[in-house]
Amino acid sequence: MDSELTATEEFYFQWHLTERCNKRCDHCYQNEHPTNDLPLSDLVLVLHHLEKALVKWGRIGSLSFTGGEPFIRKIELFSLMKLVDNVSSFAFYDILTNGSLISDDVVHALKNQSKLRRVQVSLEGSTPEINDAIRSEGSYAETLNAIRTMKKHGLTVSVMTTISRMNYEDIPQLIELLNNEGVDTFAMERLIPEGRGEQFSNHLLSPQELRELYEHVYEKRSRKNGTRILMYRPLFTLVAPDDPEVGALCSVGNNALTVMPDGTVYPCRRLPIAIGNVLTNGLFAIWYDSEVLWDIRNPKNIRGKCRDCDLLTNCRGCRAMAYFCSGDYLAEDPQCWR
Amino acid sequence: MLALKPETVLNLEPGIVLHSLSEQNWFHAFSVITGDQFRLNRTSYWVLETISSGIDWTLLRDKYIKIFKVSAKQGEADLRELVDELYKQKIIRRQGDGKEKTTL
Repeated sequence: MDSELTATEEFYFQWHLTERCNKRCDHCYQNEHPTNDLPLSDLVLVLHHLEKALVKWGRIGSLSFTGGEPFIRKIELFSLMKLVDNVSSFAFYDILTNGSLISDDVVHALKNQSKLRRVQVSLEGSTPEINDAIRSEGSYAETLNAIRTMKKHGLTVSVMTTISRMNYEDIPQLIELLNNEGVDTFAMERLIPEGRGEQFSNHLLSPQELRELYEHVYEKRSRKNGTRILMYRPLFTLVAPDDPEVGALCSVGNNALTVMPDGTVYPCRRLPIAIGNVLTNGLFAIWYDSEVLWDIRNPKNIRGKCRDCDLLTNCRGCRAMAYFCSGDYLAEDPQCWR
Repeated sequence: MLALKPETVLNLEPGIVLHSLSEQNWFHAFSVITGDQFRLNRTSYWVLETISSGIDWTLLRDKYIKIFKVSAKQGEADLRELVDELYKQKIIRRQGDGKEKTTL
């Protein structure tokens, strides 16, 4: 199953089952102090809250199970997938993983999950030198191995790259590699200087560097060969404002929420401002009454050059980038080249 | 029609929150308990905002007539109809409604 939903019909949950991880990637948005994991019984309650909200809002749910490393909680992960497979309000789910715990057995089990859309692994470059400098030695080979194992068994595989000065010049070669490996989709996220990634604030791309990269990627994407490049991100809109498959309004306050391992809810994983806890507050109170969400929903509140931009309703910049670069989540996106 | 005495105090139902983006003419009430959403117009939003801190019928009616510059007769009739609808939708309640139910 490989489908996309429109922003008006979809509601997306990014659900971090744990912050425990078997890797210590240098640029990770997580810090060194993982929160406590919920037992499976509470995770099931969380799922009920998500389902109840989707039914009430008349939205179709999509979900990413992630971590930390989600396969560290393999029993809970497979239990939840089985439940979601039987919940009509969810169309599909993805798994976001570092790939290191993917084995033939795991892939066989994943093949039985009827609503699993794709498995996303992270790869930072086309060579071990680039990738392993960020994600630790041996990580490149592990990730490639995971991709090949999943492709061998017919799973849909996505690769995600965090772009910074450490790897952006390599993106064309990386896309070529992904094409050769038969990877289905490729997505890029900008490095946000938060968590362990804070140490790399000097590696953020300048607006001009980002523009050149996005324009190049758009050109690659236009060739429609092999790996499909997903460009549903703020600022991509600037590259091709009239192309409906390029760019997307920041989902904060619009059609997405992030649930952390202890039930804490963030507007987005990259904007880690706690706006409640799904188990103690319920989702309705969070969604309807969070000051942060209402601040961001009102386009008149967005400051700087974003405020008067004619693309404000299609882009709004990345609120997390604004927050971590200026301390103000309503500030302009500092990487915008307009 | 909802019985309203001059001294009847009106409140929002528990769990009702109000939000507006007035520049976009966007007015809503939400229930954080049931998840219900109510799309409002500017007038009904004003009424709910005015009710939100608790207000008796007489004061609400007088404010309404003054703010919307309508005749006393027409204003009272319009407001009664609006309050009745908000009550039916379970967005507002009369103070004491909950207590009466508990007593029963």
